[in-house]
Amino acid sequence: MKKDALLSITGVSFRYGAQTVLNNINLDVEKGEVIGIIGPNGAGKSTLLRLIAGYLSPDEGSIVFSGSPLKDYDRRSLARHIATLPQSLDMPFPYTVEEFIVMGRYPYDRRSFSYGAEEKEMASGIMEDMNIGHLASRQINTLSEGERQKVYLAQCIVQDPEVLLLDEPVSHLDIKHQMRVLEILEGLHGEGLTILMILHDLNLASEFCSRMVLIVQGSIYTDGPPAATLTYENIEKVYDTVVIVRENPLSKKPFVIPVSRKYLTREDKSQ
Amino acid sequence: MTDQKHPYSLKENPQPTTGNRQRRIILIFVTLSILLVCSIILSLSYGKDLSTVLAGLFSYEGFGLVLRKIRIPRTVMAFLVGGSLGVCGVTLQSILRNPLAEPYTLGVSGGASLGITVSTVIQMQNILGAYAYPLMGFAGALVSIIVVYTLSMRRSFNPNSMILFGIVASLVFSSVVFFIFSLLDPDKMQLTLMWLMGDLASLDISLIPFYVPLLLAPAVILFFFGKELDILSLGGEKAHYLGVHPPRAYKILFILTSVLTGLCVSASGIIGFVGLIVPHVLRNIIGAPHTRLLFASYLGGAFFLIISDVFSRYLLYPVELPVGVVTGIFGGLILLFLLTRKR
Repeated sequence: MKKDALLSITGVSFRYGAQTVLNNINLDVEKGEVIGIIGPNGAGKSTLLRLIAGYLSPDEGSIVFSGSPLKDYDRRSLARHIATLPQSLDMPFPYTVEEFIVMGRYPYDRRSFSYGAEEKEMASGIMEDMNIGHLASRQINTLSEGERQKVYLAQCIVQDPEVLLLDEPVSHLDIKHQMRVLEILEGLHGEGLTILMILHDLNLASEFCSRMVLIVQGSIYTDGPPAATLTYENIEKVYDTVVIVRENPLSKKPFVIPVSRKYLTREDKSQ
Repeated sequence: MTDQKHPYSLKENPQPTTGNRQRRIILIFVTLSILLVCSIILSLSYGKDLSTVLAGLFSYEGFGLVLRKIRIPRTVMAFLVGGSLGVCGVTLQSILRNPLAEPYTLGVSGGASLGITVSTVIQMQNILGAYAYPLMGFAGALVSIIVVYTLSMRRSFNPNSMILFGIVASLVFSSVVFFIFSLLDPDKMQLTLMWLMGDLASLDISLIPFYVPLLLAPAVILFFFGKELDILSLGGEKAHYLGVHPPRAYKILFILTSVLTGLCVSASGIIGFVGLIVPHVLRNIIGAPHTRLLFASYLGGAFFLIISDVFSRYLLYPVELPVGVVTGIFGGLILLFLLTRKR
């Protein structure tokens, strides 16, 4: 465990009943890192994120945030440091974008009945920054998927956190909105925010993350910069799919092309 | 760019600006207050002119006595019970994340009905007199609250387990009520049946001084939970990430709403639809944020029950209907209208 790590996960295991979901996870996160968590479905990625967010508690091991054990934080103060966007959010009631985003100030505003003027100003400032100011009085349920994801993200930003945890933030978006959302995150990283996100798209992860953690069956398989993680050996072994890995000519980051079985010889298939 | 991004924006209603919306909300509160005041005047004065009512307020004879003994107590209880059912409905709809939840969803009414039925069977009124129904009704409500609470505690205390055990408790209790009914002489059960359909007329007025603070206190506490209700309505996991402790909040809110509903049922029986329809309608008018929805639903619930009570007294005059029947018919029709209009 490094002393200056913002977040230290040491020997963490987690079980649902008899089933071990995570086994002896060790991960140190430095301030300002952008970490992509990748791995096959059911590997335990979301569980890891929920442990770091304090929603679940590990059965073994410890998670230390800013020098204190995570379990010593009360909910409100943790929400001032860590903002989390779960994989799905559904909205049974017709909140407007503005009303929804200002809820991110809850951990700060002690007022009982409504949010103060400065909290509302902060919320509208962030909406302007994220180019969603024009949506302020729209109902969330009337927005497109891409707009909604930006609104959800804006609520997390309004929490003014040091760490942002995102579970598949761009999975349902078209490439335009994928790029817009990830560029927003890149901008926030530039302002010093630490980001951990689960991504399914290996190429987007490669482009936007400085470090990638590949999780397989509840354990960390590899952990390192994209060029070291996204090798064809790793990917083929973990995902059981033949791939070609090339280098993006502009960013010099690796990109992964999956290969359909129909192009493989019988010999390849048997491997 | 804006036009291209939102090709449908022209078809939607024009979006109000923040200032406009604020004015709109104030206007809605003013309208609600005026409606409420009108319904109170109507409830006190029906069949008389206003000068008789004013004179009656300062007299202890004739119509003054009617006002003091019947109309004022009844209006006060309709106000408190209607308002309480309104805020309980808002709270439960938020934590159960279901716009069709209502105060009785968690089983309180079943327990209260059983308490009342048992009270009739063992003739508690011989011992407790006019206090038999309120006390036994509340005791029954408490039993069902304790049952649902303990069962929910065995799992994680979350909305799903609350609904599950609430519905189970409700079904079991009301089946026992019907079982008892089937054994007894129907004539003897007439009063009980009236009460089960919601009845603002039977409460002994000597109990009202106790009910006023008991019904006001939990409602006032609930007003302070508006921001938490907003966040809880996003679901337990997201609420956790925004700084609320959901299991703790669920417990507090469950107890507050159940006790308040139990008190309402003990005072005036099972008055349906108020706690469902009032928050539902007002949410469409005033928006989802819960602080203002709680206040609006208190006023709206009070108005709806007072005006329904006026109808229950005079619709088939001189026969008086149970007020729960009137709220059920009105509420059902309003809900039907809203649901068919949307589709």
